[in-house]
Amino acid sequence: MSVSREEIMAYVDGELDETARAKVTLAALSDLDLADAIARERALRERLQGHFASVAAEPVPPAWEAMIRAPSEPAPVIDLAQVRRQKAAQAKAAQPKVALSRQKWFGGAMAAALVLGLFVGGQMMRREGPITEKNGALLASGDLAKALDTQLASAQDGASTRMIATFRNGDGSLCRAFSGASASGIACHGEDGWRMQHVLPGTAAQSSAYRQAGSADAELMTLAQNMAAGAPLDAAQEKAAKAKGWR
Amino acid sequence: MPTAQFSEGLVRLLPQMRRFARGLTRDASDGDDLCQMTIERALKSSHLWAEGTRLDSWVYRIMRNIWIDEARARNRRSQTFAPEEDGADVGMAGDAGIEAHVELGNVERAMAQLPDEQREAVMLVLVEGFAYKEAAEIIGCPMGTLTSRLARGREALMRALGEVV
Repeated sequence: MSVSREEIMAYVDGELDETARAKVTLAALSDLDLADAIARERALRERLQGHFASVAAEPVPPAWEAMIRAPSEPAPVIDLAQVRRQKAAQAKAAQPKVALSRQKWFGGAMAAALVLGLFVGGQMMRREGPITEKNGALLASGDLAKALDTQLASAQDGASTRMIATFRNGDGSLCRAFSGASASGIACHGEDGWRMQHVLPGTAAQSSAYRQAGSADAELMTLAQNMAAGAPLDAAQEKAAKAKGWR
Repeated sequence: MPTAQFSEGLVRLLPQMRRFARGLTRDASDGDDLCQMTIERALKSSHLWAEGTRLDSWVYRIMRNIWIDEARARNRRSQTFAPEEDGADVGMAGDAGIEAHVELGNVERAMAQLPDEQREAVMLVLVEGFAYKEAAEIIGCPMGTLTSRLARGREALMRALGEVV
């Protein structure tokens, strides 16, 4: 053969420049062995690509996309006009399920950022409010932390903070959606306690002009569904999770 | 915080990231674990990605580095975790479904026999379609090293798949 193995490889991989490429093409016309070698290289490439194409065609786990799109901390910029625009766009686009819930999710994140401003300004700075800030993370504290630790969604008559759902997120951490007078939201259990993932207005604040979503519970459920990997825990599973310290 | 451009780019890359992970690990669930770890690492270090440069090369580099660490740790832990290939379908050819299964098994087996560095080169160039220069940059080796690994990997695959006389 007038062409080296490396050149054949480079030819098939599209790595040769115009001149070198033309030389190989020309040589293959009169050299059957060379033509055969090129065909075998091509066949190998196609066979491998065909084999792995099925992997790329599998639907990607939804938790991955949620993980990428979920901001790890609340957006610092609060822009009411943008929230309104987003709400309007949401109302307009009532088409595919995934896209809709994603838009809702963004709406929720904006609303959470907005409400967060209220907390930082007021309630939160008082000693032992429901939420404290530690190393850039928002942690549940005081009565809220206690409620998250001890209260089961299945048994909470008369409690001031209600647990709405308990579920695992894409990382496998246990998360709880709760609704209280001063704050509602979703917190996930980590090494340093309950980290707030979303903060929404509490039931007492729901008549305020800052309220963005419809019912806070419905908003929370949408947020929870987008975060959850699998179904929420039932009463027995929740009890077991509590017994294990929410790990 | 990752920029929107980063997040959207990463979401678009997920199917092919998963493919590359499957090729590196040779196992569906290991591959998905690797992919998830890569996403987490990429999100954490998103500020290190220079906007305007190729996100795919950047993410692939993260993935292979995690995999190399992981593979090293595994080798230390145990050498005996090689599941026996199922030979149950041998001799039942003729049915299209079984043939497809055998074909799948053949490519998988042939790839599994390659040393890690050859399989990685084959994945990047032949399956993922990176140019030699890009693939060498992802691996962090000279181009000559890449092409010789690629050549050896190809020869071994052809032998295993019965395409060399």
